[in-house]
Amino acid sequence: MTRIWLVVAGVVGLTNLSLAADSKNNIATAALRKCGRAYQRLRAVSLRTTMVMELAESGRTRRSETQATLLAERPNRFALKFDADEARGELRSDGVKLITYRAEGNEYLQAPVPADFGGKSLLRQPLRLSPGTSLVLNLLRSEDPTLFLNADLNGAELLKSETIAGRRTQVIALKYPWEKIEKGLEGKTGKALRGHVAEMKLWIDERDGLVRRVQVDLASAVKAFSPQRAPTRFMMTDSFSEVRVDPKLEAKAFDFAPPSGAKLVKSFSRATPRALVGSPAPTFKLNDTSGRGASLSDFKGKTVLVNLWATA
Amino acid sequence: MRELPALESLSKAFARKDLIVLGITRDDAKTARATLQRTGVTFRNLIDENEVAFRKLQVRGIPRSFIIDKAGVVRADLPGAMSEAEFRAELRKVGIQ
Repeated sequence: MTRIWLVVAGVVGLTNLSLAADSKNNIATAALRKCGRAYQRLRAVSLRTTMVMELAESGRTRRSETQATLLAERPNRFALKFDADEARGELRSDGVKLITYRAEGNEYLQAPVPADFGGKSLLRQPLRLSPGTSLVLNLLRSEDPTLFLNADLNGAELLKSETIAGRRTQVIALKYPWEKIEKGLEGKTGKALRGHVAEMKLWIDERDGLVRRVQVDLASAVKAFSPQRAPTRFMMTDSFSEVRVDPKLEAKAFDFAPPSGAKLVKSFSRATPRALVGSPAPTFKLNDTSGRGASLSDFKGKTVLVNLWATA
Repeated sequence: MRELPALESLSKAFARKDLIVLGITRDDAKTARATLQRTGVTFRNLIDENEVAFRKLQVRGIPRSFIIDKAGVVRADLPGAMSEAEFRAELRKVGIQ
C-alpha cells in the first residue's frame, strides 16, 4: 500500500515538475489538434465577429472597432457582412467568384476566388479580411485543418485558461509566419514582412474545440517595413460570438444580389465627400475634458462654432 | 491649436449672443487638458481620441472649423488656420455680430 502511494506521489511530483515548457507545449498541441478536428468535422459555421484594432504610437493610442457577420461553408464559400457606419459592405465567395461590395459608392469588385484567403489588414481597407476571419476561412478551406494548424503554427505554448463570453477557453500563443497572414506578400511591404513571424494568440474552446478569439500582434511587423515608426502596441483582435455549427443554409446564401443601381467596377472610385454645408450636422456623442458626455444636438437653438484640433 | 486663443476670445465676446464655441480634439484627455491649461482655454472641449467626430465630419487635415446654425444645419466649412477677424467675418454671415 505504502509503495503504491509512493508511486502516486512520485507521479504527482513529476506532473508538477513537468509544468515546464514541454508539457505546456503538449497541452497546446493537443488543443490545436482538437481544434483542427473540430473544423474538419463541420460543414459550415456562422458567427458574429467584433474586430478591434489598437495602435499605440508616439504617445497616442487609437482604437477602432468593426463588427461583421460571417457565414462560411467548406471549402470556399462565404459571406462576410460588415455593419460599421463608415465601412458598410460585404465580401462574398460563391466558390467561383469573389465579390467585394462597398455600400459607400454602391460599387462592387469581382475576381476569381483566390487559392487561399490571405488575412488582410482592416486598417485602410475596411472591407478586407481580418486575421481572425481569414484563419477561420483557411481552416474551412483546408483538407486537413489539423495539419494546417500543427505543421505551420510551430512553437505553440499554452498561456492560460480563460473564460470568455461564458465559454472556457485555452489561450495558445503561436508564432505565425507572415506568409500565412498576408498571402502573396507583394510589393515593398510584402518584401519587408517575408520571413517574419507574427505573435498570435488563439482562444480555443475547451468543449467544442472551435476558435473563440484570435489576436495578432503587428507591432514588430510595422517596425520591419517602416523602421521610423515604432508602435508600442499594435493589436488586431477578432472576438467571435453567436458561433453556430452547421447552420441551416438558404439555397442562395452565398450568391451576390447587387443592390439596385450597384455598379461593377475595376477599382473603387475615391469616396466623394458628401456635402456637409447645408446638411444637418452629423450625430455623435463624446466626453468633454471633465468626462461629461455631449453631442452637437445638445446645442440646438444656439449657433455652434466647432473647431477640430490636436496638440501634436 | 494655434487658433485656440482666438476662439477663446470669441467665446467670451459672443457668450451673450447665443454662440457656443466647442473644441473637438483627437488628443487623449491628459494631453488635451495640459494644452488647454497652457493656452488658457475655458470653452468646452470634447475628446475624440478614436476620431469618431473627425470621421463623421470628414476631417483629414487640421485645423478645421464648422459653423452649425440654431437648427443644427452646417452653415460653413472652414479648413485651415483662421484669425479672429476671419472667424468674425464668417460668424457675421450667419447673423452673429
